[in-house]
Amino acid sequence: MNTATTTVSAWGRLSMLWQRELWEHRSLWIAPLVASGLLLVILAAGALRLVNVQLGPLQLGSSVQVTTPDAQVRVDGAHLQVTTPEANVSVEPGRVVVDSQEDDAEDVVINMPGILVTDDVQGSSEARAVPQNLVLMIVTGLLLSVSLFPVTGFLLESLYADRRDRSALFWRSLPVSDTATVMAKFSLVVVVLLATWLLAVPVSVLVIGLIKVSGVGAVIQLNWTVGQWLAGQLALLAFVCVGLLWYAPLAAWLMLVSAWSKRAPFAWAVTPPVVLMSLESILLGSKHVAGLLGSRLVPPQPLQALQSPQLWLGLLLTAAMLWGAIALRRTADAD
Amino acid sequence: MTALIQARGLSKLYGSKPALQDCSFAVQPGRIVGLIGRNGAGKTTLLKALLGLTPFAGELSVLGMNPATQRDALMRDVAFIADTAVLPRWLRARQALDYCAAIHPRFERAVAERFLAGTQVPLNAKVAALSKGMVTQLHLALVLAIRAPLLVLDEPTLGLDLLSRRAFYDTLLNDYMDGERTILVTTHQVEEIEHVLTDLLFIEQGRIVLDAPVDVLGERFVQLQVAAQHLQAARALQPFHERVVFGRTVMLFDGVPQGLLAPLGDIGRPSVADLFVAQIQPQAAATASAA
Repeated sequence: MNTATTTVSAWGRLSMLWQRELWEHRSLWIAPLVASGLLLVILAAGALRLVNVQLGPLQLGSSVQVTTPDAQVRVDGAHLQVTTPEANVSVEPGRVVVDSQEDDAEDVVINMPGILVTDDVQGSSEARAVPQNLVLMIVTGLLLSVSLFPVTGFLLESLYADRRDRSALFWRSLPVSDTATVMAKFSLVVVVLLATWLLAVPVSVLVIGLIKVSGVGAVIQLNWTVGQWLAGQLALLAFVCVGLLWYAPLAAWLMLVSAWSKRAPFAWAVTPPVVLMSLESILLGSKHVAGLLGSRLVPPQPLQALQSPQLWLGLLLTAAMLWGAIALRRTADAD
Repeated sequence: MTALIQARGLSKLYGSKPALQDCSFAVQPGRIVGLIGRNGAGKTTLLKALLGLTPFAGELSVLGMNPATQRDALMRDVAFIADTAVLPRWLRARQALDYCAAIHPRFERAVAERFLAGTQVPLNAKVAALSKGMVTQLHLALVLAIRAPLLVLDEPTLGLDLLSRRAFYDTLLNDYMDGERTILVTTHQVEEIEHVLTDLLFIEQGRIVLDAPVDVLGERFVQLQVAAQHLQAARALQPFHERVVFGRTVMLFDGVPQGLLAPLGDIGRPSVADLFVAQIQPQAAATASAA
């Protein structure tokens, strides 16, 4: 008999199992890309003056002009000029000139030696690194939050959708163990969230670039050294990794519900904790369950979380729930 | 020769309702076995037990493995289509080929592509956009391309027109069978695959009621169109089935020598469909009277 078999590498199999999920759940990769695109388009539009990005009453920068019906504000290098129907106010290094629009009024010149209009505010490099790290955090946080929606949906569907559309038997007719199926789906979430972090790296660089171009950069100092930038990115990566460990029990719970429910996995995922909280509050008057869940939802501080027993207990719970999901998957078509 | 499938005392209960009752049979390598039974007779339950998809009582060995505990290894050597298996609507034909090629060590992509080339299935189309018949063809292409020692087909041609059904069985015989592969197939269209099968397994109410190679059927079973004057003599030889067709009584005998029957009327070889009906009807009648 022709028993020739092609060798299938473990990595090839795993990446195909991930690929299969991305075919089915396209929002997993589309959502963060669309969010990045939108963010960049909005900021680019701002930089192109299609939208005024205003931070505070004035915009400072190398060359900015803001026009309202009552006034025109112009920043050109070290020169700030405010034009209103009544007067023309000009702020230059060392002095302020007020030029009244009425013919009979005299110009007022105020000499102020300390005055400076610039995008090169003095300050320690550490202090200047703070706003840029803030931009990194906001961009990464935004993209991760966007990814959480398709990820949650994916987890709830992961072991339910193919039972609903009755294709489970087709998938299970191929040599992929139920353990491999569950673990591939679970690990895909890690891949997606790490990829989202990776996506946020170039996006945040572009965002910072656009902010600088749009002139806001002068207000929120955005000059960094490569070291500071790297440190910021690595701190975010550490946060994402610890976050993955911290939130793993929630993901495993969603998969367990997905493997178990005959319909409406979302309702089954939400109902038990709500019922538990209500029962506890009615019968015992305490709020331990709510407290436990609440503390789990708060994003962790990486170093503290790694030292807390809750994180490691949560991982044990994760393993138990994944084991349960695999066991349920095994008997999915018993009837 | 060791049997490819060996079942001893295979039983299965759904609640208190028995789905399989003490089934024992063996399937040798290189055979094409037709598992034939009515809806709800236990066909699908039996196949699911063979594939490790449902727990069961009794002894079962498939390719030397126990399906209940070695399903993962078994799936590398078995290809199957379950009658209830549906391809997911979002899947494209090309993606299905990519997936099987990366997952299944025995999948030969060229075979699947050759089969699909003879159909109307576009490689880029999603399953949702294909007709029911085309989805079945895609599924068959995938399964035929898996060069596994055992192929299990549960109603494989459901939803296909006559031409496609013919094309499928031709492909099955010409490309798939090499004398050592084994096929276990269930279908409602017994007449169409009668000439394909080498063995028959009839199942009724969870029991195996006939287990015989097709080539001995002619020796064992005889159909007799009884001449009117010999009716009593024929009945004395204990036919296991009797019916009236166009005013003539037709009887089926099991193990009665042809020499005894020939003087009583016209003898012939019963078709598998006739045998099936004859084997099932006594039980069906009993069920009806009991209910």
